[in-house]
Amino acid sequence: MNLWLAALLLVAATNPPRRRAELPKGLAIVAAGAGLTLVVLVGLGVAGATALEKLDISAPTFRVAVGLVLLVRGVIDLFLSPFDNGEGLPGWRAVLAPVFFPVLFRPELALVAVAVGVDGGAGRLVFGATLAMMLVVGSVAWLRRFDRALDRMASVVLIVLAVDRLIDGVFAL
Amino acid sequence: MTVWVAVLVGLRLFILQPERCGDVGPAEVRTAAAAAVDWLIRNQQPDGQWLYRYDATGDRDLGGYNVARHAGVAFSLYGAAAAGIPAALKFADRGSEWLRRRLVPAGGGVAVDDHGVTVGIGGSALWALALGERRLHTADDLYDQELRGLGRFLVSQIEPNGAVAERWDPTADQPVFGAYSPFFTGEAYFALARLERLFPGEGWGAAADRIGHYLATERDDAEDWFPAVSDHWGAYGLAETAHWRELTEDELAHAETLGGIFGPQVRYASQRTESWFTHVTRGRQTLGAGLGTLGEGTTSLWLAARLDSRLGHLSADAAERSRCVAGLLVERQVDVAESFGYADPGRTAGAWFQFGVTQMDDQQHPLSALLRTLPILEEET
Repeated sequence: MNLWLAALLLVAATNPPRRRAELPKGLAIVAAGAGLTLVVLVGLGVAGATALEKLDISAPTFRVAVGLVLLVRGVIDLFLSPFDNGEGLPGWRAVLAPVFFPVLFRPELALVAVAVGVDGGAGRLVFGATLAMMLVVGSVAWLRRFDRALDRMASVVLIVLAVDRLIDGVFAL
Repeated sequence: MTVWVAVLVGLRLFILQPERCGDVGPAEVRTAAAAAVDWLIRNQQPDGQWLYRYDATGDRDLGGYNVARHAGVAFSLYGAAAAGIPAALKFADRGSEWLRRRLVPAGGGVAVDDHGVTVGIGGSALWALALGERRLHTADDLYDQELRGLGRFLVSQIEPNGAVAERWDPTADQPVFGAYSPFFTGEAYFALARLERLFPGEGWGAAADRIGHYLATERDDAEDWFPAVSDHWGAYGLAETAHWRELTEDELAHAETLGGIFGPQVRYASQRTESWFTHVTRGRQTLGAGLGTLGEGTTSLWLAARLDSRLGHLSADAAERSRCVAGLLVERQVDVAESFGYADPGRTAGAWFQFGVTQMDDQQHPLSALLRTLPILEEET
């Protein structure tokens, strides 16, 4: 997996414009939550190969799983508006909820982080995840309102990448 | 949280089932191969034929016979002899003598007659492979005349575009045009590529190349195979060709395609257990023959990757899948202790069964796969 595919996967799985609609307005809190998410994603990616080995899962089979989850996520995001995540924790604890969980640290993103870590290596994961989290913070800082068109565009990209991962996984030696 | 649980549990149950490949080393693989050879030795009749199909549950010889599979077993046994199981040579030769008695003049050479109205070329191609294996590893020229005769016959079956006619018409002494086998073409390819390696300069390579190009560029579409043929013989042929020349771009691409056919099958097969859950979600465990062919395919790609650096990126994955197949074969083989649970341990020990039945090729393909995995495992230890 090359650098740009890794970055595109992480950014599309994050879908920054959509996250903009789900995150609180406090930029510092969002930035802190994004930082925490970045650390967890990198940790997952680095530990991913060992975890897959322990679970007797090969990298190609994992790619298939990632592709399927991304496909479902992409289709849902394409046709449905963002969900209301309910009340978060007050003050700085909002970094944990809702910013880190459930908005940023999501199953599809965690799976992509592992896949990128396994197939692309830690460097590409760090680059892609950092870019994705910077775009999340940027979307909160610069997008004046939720932009459904950008959300849909990211969803379409995610669907294309999902199919690519599926094919790559199914037809891998 | 519900979404997390649903995704992770759903994936584990239905997509990410454990690939239970086992962890085998060269010693276990060699032992399993020797046990398979012993089965073939014990179950060979004095005239050279092997027990064809056996039901262990009812302790019944189910009869039937297949000349191509007979020749395939001889090929595997010669491979075993080459890998250091010397007893295999004598019994492979006995099998070869049975085939020699069935030779008939055909296509400017000789063919193994299967006594049909038309004659399938599988027996001839596989015996050529068997004799080629024998010649390569013993340097004994005992069967050279037959080997070259079989080669000439196979060349006569090649159509202008590189397709290989599945059958030969003994009355007209010509190929039966328009009928093709998913496997005979690859067998002929491998046999002729082996002949080029054994007897360079005699023109065998050009014939092999015609088939190889056809396999790489046209076969699945031209012969309407869907899904594409899981062609372990074609993979053998590619690796064999890589011994005497660089592979073409089309052949390199074909190796990649074959990898994409073998790989998912190995992963899927490794997820199958005897539990009801995997029966429902993954189906029953495959035949020993089927599993063995996958190992033959992946080991051939590994070898091709070793010989042609442009396929080097396939090497690690091919090795991993080959190890996986070997692990599954070792685990699923009936060992001596288990064989005493059956009515006739002599017909069960060392064999692979599905639904209580084994067929001679259920030993042939696993044996070859195990033997060809040995260099991979030995290199790692």
